[in-house]
This record gives sequence, structure tokens and C-alpha cells, in this order.
Amino acid sequence: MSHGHKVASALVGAVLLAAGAFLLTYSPAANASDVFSRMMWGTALAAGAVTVALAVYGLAYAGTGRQRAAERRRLAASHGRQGYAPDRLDLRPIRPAKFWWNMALIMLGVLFVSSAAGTGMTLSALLEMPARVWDFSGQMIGGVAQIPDEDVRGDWSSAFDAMLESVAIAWIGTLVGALFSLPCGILAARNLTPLGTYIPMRFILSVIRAVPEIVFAVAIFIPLLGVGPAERGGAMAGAFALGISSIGTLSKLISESIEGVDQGPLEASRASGATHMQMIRWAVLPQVLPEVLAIWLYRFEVNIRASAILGALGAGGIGRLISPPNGLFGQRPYDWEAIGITLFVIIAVTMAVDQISGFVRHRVIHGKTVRRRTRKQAEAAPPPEPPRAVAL
Amino acid sequence: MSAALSERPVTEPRPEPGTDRPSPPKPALAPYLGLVLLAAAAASFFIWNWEGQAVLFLPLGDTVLWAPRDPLLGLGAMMLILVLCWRLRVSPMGAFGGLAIVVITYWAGSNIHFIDRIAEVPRRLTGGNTRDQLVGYFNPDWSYLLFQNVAGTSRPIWGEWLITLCMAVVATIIGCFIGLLLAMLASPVSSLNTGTSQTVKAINSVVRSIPDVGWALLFAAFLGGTAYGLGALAAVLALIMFNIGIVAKLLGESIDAIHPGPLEAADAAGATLVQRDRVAVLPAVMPSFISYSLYVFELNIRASAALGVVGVAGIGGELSRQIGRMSQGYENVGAILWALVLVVLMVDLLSLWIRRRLL
Amino acid sequence: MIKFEDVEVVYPNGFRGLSGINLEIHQGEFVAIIGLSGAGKSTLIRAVNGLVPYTHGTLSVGETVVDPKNKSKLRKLRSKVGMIFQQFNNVGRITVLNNVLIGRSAFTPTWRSLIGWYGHQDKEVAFQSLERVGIVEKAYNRAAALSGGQQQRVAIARVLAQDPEVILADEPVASLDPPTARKVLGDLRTIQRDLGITCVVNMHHLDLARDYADRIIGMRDGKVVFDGPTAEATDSVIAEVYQREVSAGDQLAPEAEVSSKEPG
Repeated sequence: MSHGHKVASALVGAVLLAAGAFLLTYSPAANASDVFSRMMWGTALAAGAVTVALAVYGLAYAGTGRQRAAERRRLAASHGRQGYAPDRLDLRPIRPAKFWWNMALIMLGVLFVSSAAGTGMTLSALLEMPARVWDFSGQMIGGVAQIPDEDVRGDWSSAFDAMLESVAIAWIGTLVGALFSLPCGILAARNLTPLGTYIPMRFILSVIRAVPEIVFAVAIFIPLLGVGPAERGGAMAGAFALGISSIGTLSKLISESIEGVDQGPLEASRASGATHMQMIRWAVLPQVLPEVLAIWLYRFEVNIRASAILGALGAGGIGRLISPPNGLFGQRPYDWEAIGITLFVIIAVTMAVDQISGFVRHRVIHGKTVRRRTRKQAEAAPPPEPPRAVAL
Repeated sequence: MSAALSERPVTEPRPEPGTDRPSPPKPALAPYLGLVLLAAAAASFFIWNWEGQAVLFLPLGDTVLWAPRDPLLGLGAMMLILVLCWRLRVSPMGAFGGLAIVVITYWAGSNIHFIDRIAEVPRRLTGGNTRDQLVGYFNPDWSYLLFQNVAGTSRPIWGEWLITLCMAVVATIIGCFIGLLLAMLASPVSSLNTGTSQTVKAINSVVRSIPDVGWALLFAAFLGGTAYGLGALAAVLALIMFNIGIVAKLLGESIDAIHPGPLEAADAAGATLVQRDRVAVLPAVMPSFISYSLYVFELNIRASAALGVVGVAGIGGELSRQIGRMSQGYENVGAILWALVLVVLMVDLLSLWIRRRLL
Repeated sequence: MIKFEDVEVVYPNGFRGLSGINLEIHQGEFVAIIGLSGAGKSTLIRAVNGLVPYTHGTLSVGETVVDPKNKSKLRKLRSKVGMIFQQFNNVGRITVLNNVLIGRSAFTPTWRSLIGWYGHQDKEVAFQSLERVGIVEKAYNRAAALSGGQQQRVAIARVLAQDPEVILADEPVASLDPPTARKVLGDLRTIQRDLGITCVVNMHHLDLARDYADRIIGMRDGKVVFDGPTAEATDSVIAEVYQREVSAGDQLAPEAEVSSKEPG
């Protein structure tokens, strides 16, 4: 019986998946308007599955009954007499039932199926996709590979201009974020700041982090700075939206790295009568500056990617070039050659910027040493924390 | 510069009060002069490429000198940074870095018309509809969000929120699992061989460099439209690609850093590669994997709201429709944005709770 | 049982780890290898199961010649040759039982390990080896939650689960405190005697080598400089191996201080 519940769970999972796929594929997409009822369908299906799984689980539990009874008897006996020496078999522990863990897994499956039903995806469309992908990527590669004539040269240069504009947006955004994040980070570091400033600062930063950058862009900076192409202010709106939302993450990371500094120099400068500002300038900043620079550069890479989505909302850059209604994907029929060229430029520029910034980061942190492959000999794995790298 | 300070000879007797202390060595002059030349060259390049109209006038007695404003500001900033570096005794390499930052900033700023747009902000605030917009955003119309339907259909607005959440869940689960597999293949620790790991890394960096909007648009085109079911599918596929990129990169780095001992033990026990990855690598990176998955889920909520802009399903689609009809009032957009902040906040709290429970 | 014929190891960076090793280790022997750090002890042990590929000569375990190039043959060999490490090398986040089951990897189909569904027989073997090292009651605890001595016992159980003919141990007790080290090594000795396993152990501490080993091999600069039964390994011989006087630092436990002549 020991593996019975695993078999059953697998079976139930398979049935669930099959049923879910059926439900998803054959739901009439046009009038499947009520998300809620579709999700309920999925949930009901899943609830049945959970019931079955629970029953199986109960059976499995009952199956170990004899062993548990023996264990109880053994324990009771050992309480009675001193020096009870059980034989070897008796020492084997009972397999602990990981009830909540299993339940969490089952719930995850349920969640998956019901939300897959909830999205109302028309999965059957996937069947037609490969042919189109083949056709279109052929055209895209053809577009990139052909010898440029006048028209195609225009595609290349507009893609390149838009991508550089994205880089410019990301740069200004990172700069704005960087300028504000250093003081904010210092104010949000527990070892440098009194509690009275620390708590409000932390609160403000977590509020900033909670607001998505599209909200900043749409609600504040597009009205304030304009929308559309760069000369009408769209790019500036994007840059400032990125900048403000960078402040949140950057300050948090910086404050964490400040909290992790070596306390020795701080105490030394405090002991020699330095003022607070002097201590920050001479004891803290030299220690954290390389890491802070690396954090800023990392955020720059992230911002390049993030600027695309703001562009789709009306802020400038590559997002504006590709997104409908006026962009490349808004035209019918699709101009696949131009799209291919644009994608190529996006990939090339992004990877180039990543490489350069990665090189500078490495140089800033490790100095002028030759890159060597050293395996970290972590004695104990550091405790898992939410990812410090805020990738996008 | 702290290195320069510490080079001061400590054995030297303390100078009498009033006499000059030995000052720290100045950096070499020649590289700095070179940097000044470089700055001048950059400034002339700026002037050559200058397209704006803004001009600064310098009244000088009976003649008036004029110069293009932006390049002159750039030159001033460059000189300022050089003088600052000189005074602070930064090494020429550091000063070059500072100069590079100023040059890039000048280029970026002129590319997005920084000064013009900033100069225009007061005018926009007093005139035009900026004030109405801001006021509208801070007076959201909640009844729209709760009781109305998407225009022309019978789908309620809150249902769109549910769809957004559903898309995020599905994409997170699928994307994280594919990302896990790719991370295993991408890290030289757990991969078949160096070739595979390099190839997978290259593919992954291509996947990562296309932004999520790009993926959404591509999949919408590949699926043949953004009709109701197709739009959701395109969004889910785009989010999956987006997640694969993040998880494969971050998790690949955690796999690189795991303690090699257990791997060696599994090897010594005669395990195959798959067995080794399963028994030694997977448990070691499981906490990071769960943590990254939760993080990716948060990102997905934000992204799936935004993806709607390109015409796919979810609340983003409604947001872009409302932005398109902004002339009828800003309260609807305001309601969606406020609700977005609320939802993101709740998802953050939820994932914090799960993280605390699990790890 | 284990036969080195003119074995050499040259690392990719050109460092010569072993040169001209000729050795024969017999079935059921408990061999201690001593020497200063960097003398090639680890390299010697790791060459036996191919963790360090040897570059010249022939190395055979039983009838099988160790072939570092042939992965599947190497795996088959490793299934017979267990290895214990200084840092235990248990996977901290999984249960003790699953750690021991890693030792069954070579006998388990890949798909079974993949879904973590080991057969009854594998589990029985794992439990029996845990019983042999005496920590079966911890079978479902996380490995990371155990003390150092218990962790090393888990590692021994993992090796025993392989049903090995040879056990290699690379400084197995160097990170344990003296009493625990003696206890763990004593257990290893007992098990080795009971099951007739050949055992090759790297040692840092002379007194442990003298107390537990049948035979001592001394190494210096990648060469074997002494090879003989424990009784022959007098202090003067060891001093020859170390190229310096034997000191108290080479001993582990206070009770063995009698055999050290010169302090410091």
C-alpha cells in the first residue's frame, strides 16, 4: 500500500489533465463569456479528484495501522521498564505522512486546471501554429538575410533608431533611479538610520515597489510629459516612469548591501569622532560602491527590456515601433521582413548592452583580474531569499 | 582614492601645527589633459550633430556671443566632472568612466529631448487637460469596475481580472517547469557537456532579449489573431517565454553555485547524469526554485496586465480600450490602475506568506 | 584486489599528482594512507574510482581495468566501489533514507529515481545499512539536521547500500571531534571486517592509522615512500615519510599522546 496513493495521485492527475484539455479545447470560445462558471467547472472536476485522492490517502494511512499499533505498544512498554532494548526491526521509524505537502501539490494541480479553464484559451489553435511559425520565420530570416535595398535600409534604420531610443530611455530612467536610490538606500539601512526615519522610508519604498511601472507611466508621466514619439514627450514619460519604479528596487538592494557591510570601519570612524556624514562618506561608501554600481548597471539591463512595454502604452522606444495600432504589428498584412529585421536589431542591441554592462560589472566588482573559473566552495548553502536580481 | 590616502607614510613625524601636511599625491597630469581633449572632441561632435534651436546668449560688452545651448551644457558638465575628479584625486581610469557617463547621458538626454520636455512641464500643468487627467485618476469610478460589462459583450469587468490571474497562474506553472529543465541544461554543473550548456545559454539569452510585448505580438500573429480565445492563448504563451528566460537564467546561476560535494558523492555511487541531477542538484536548488517561481508569479501579474495593451485578453485589454476612449473621462482608467496596485500588493503579500511558510 | 601498475596522474594544468605508483591491495585489507597534505593521498584514492583520471599505466579493481574514458564502464565500476568524503557530502535537504538510496542509484532504473519511487528491495537494503551504522531511527529526518558524526554514518550507510567490494575513504574523520572520530572509524573497521570489504583510507592522524589499519602506506610528492604492516611503521619510519619529526600535531586523541616523543 505504500505507493498506492502515489499511483492514485498520478492517475487522478492524468484524468484531470485529460478532462481539462477536453474542457478547454471544446468550449465554444465565442460565447464562453462567463469565466466564473468555467473556473467552477474546473474546480468541481478538481474537487472530485481531491476526494478520490483523499480516500486513497486514507486507505494508505489505514494500511500502516498495524505498524503504528506496534510502535505504540513498544513505546508504552519502554515507558514501563527501564533499559528496554528493542530488536533492530522495531527501530525503523514509520514513514511520516506529508499530508499538507501532498495537499499543496494537489491544490496546485487543481489551481492549474481551473485557471487553464478560466483563461478560455482555444488550445486547438496551437495545432495550426507550427505551419505559420515555419512560414513566417522563413520570411523573417529572409528579411534579415537579404541585401538591403532602399526600402529595407529604411526598416533597418528605423528599427535601430527606435532601439537606441529605448536604450536612451532606460539610461535616463536608471540615472534618475540611481540619483535618488543612494540617499534613499542609506535612509533605509538599519545600521545608519534611526528608527524614526527608517520605518517611514521602508514603507514608502515598499509602496513604490508595489506600483507597477505602467501605472506610473499612464497615470502620472504621460499626462505630465506627453505621449507619442520622443519629440512629443513619450520617451521622457517612459524614462521617468522607469526611473521612479527603479527607485524602489534599487533602494532596497542598496540598503541591503549597506546593512551587510563590515562594521569595523564604522566603529573606528565613530570612535575617532567623525560626524554621521563623514562616517557615511569614508566608512560606508567605499565599501558598498562597487556593489552599488553593479546593482545600477543590472537595473539598466532590466530597464531596457521594461521600456518596451511602456512603449506599447504610448511612451517611446521600441515598443512604439512594434505595437499596434500604428506599429509594425498593426499593419495588415504583416510585413514579416521588417518584423524580422526589428527583432534582429532588438536581440543584437540588447545582447550587446548586456555584454558591455556585464563586463563593466565584472570589472567593477573584481577589479582588473583576469576572469577565472572558480567554483564557489559554499560551506553551507546561503539561506534562500527572494531573488536579489530583479530581472525582467 | 582611499588607497591614495593610505599611502601616506605613517612613520613620518607629526607636522607642527600650522605647517603644511604632506598632501596626497596628485594623479598624473598627462592622462587628464588627454581626457580634456576627449571632452572637447565630444563637445564638437555634439555641436556638429546639434539639431535643436535653443541658443544661449552671452552679452559681452558691445558684442553678444551665442552658442548652442545643449552642447554647451554638455561641455560644462564634462569639464565639471573632470575638475571634480581631479580635485578628488580619482585615477584617470575613474575619470574616464565619469566622462563616459556624462557623454552617454548627453546622448540619451538629447535623444529623448530631456530639457525641452522638462521646460514644458509648467505650461502643461497650467493649461490643457493634464489637470483633468490627474484629478480623474485620483477619483476612480469603482462602480464601473464592479458592475459594468466589457463594452459590447456580456463579460463583467471583474471577470477580466480573473482571466488575468488565471493567465498568470498557468504561465507561471508551465514556464517555471520548462525554465527548470533549461536551467539544468544551461548550467555546466548539471548539463550533458559544455557544448549543450553553451548552446542552451545562447538560446536563453535570445529568448530573454525579446521583451514580453514582443512575444505577445509574435504569438498573436502566429496564432492568427487576437480573438477572444486566441488572445488569451497568445498572452499565456508570451508569459511562458518570458518566465522561461528569467527562471533559466536565475536558476542556472544558483545551480552553478551549489556545493559540489553531493554531486561527487552521487558520481562516486555510479549514478547516471539524470539520476545525479535529480537526487543531488534538484533538492539543493529547490528553495531557490520556489522563491523564483513566486517572484515570477508577481512579475506575471504586472506583465499580464500590461500585455493586454497589445490586444490580448485580460484586464490589460480593457485598460487599453479605456485609454483609447479617454476623452470620455479618466475615472475608468483610474479605477483600473488603482485596482492593479491593490491586486499587485495582495499578490506580494500572498507570496511573502507562502515564502515564510515554505522556506 | 586493487592493483596499480606504474600509474601516473598528470592534471590538465601540468601538475604531476602521482608518479610511478606500483601497489597491490588485497581483498579484505584495511589500508591507511598517510602523508603530508599535497602528497597525493587524495589523488591516489580518487584515481581508483575514476574521479581523477589517470594518465599512464594500468589500474585495476578486481578483474576490471579502470577506464576513465568509458563512462558506462566507469559507472559499473563505481557501483562496486563506494566512497566516503571528509565533508560527508550528504544532500542536506532530503531525508536520511533518500540519501542512503543515492547509493542504490546504479541498481535503480533512471525513471524510478526520477520520480523518487524506489523499489521495496532497494528500501530494504537502505534500511539494513542504516541499521548497521546504527541510526535507523533517524531515517526520515533531514540529513542537514544531524550532527557531524551522524552525518558521516549516513555517508557510510550510503556506501554500504551499494553493497561495495571496496570502500575508499578520503579523510573520513578529519572534520569530526576526537571521540566521535574514533567511534566512527571503529564502526567502519567492524563493518569492514564483518563484510570482508577492502578499505583504503586517507588519514591525517598517525595514532588512528596505527590503531585501526592493517597496513600503512606512506606517500610523499606523489610517490609511495613506505609500504608495510602497521607494526613496521615506527616513528622513525614516519619521520622519514614526513621529512620531519613526528609531533603532537600528527596525533588525534589525548590518549595517544604517549606515542609522541617530542612536543611541538
